[in-house]
Amino acid sequence: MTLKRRIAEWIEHRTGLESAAKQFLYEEIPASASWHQVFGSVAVFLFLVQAFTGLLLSFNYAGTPGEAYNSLRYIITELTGGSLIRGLHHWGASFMIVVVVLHMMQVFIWGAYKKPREATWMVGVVLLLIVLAFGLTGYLLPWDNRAYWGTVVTTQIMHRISLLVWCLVHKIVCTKTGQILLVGAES
Amino acid sequence: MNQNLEQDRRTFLLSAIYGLWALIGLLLAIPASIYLLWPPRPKKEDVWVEAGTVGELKLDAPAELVFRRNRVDGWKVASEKSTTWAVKVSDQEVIAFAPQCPHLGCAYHWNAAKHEFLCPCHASTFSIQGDVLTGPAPRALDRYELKIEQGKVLVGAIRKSGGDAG
Repeated sequence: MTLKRRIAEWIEHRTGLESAAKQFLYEEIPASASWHQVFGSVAVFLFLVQAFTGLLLSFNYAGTPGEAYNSLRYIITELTGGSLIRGLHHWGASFMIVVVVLHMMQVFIWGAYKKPREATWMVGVVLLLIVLAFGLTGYLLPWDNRAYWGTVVTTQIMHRISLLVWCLVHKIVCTKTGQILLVGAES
Repeated sequence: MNQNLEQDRRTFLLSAIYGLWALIGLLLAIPASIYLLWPPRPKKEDVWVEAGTVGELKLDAPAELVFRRNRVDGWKVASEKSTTWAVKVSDQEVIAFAPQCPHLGCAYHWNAAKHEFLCPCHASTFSIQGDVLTGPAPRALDRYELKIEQGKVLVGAIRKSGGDAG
């Protein structure tokens, strides 16, 4: 037994990593498998790219209101390859949202959420929400005007929703949506 | 025979997949290492700061001028206090010495009685031209880049003096 094999066996025996990876990589795939099923893997790949480029950017990014914009400008204009890494991260985020939505549509149209895959669909919904939340928070990181107004809009949406819930709970005359909006605009 | 063909196809596809992954990995790893290891290219621009006016200086009487200047470090801009010992040679010519002794960086001062700059740390002395008179200082006082515009003394970067000490 070679040394490499022995190390692999040692790890496999203790973690089961190799058989777990093989379970995914060498899965039997039906003959009907086709290109429409790639979106899930593309999403995973894009996630890895996002994690990697995000880690790189975090070396030079300062997450404070006063310095976020300047540090991003520094990354883009002064660091070698900085605009490329930032571009990958920026566009990768948009691609990821697009691919995740395409993936969801594919699963829905092909009926891939049906028995016995209901739990997979539920996990997918949670992952979709996480992706959207990351998309929003990442959008705010440059802390430019766009990020600022993005924050205003999204916090206002949450504010309106909380008002709506408040109205429902207290059964106050909030029958017209206009009234809720007015209350929101005044505060 | 058929079994072998199937095996070959499988091996080919596997190596194609691994090859593609290696290519993608390289495409990410190369820009990443450039980003991490290559030095940044800072935008150098000459910044001139007003240290004082020619009018407030007297001939052959060095005066310490205090001014603020911005120091840029990466994305951080810090405003810091700076000083210079300014000597008016004529109405058109002013010399601005950097405020540190070239020996170990102590703050020196002008000794009017002896007509020389004196560093209190190791007793280096310098002439009004900045040349070393006595002491351990290895070279003359460093000078700011300087220009005079409409009676204002503008200073730029500090230039190290040549090794004209004995």
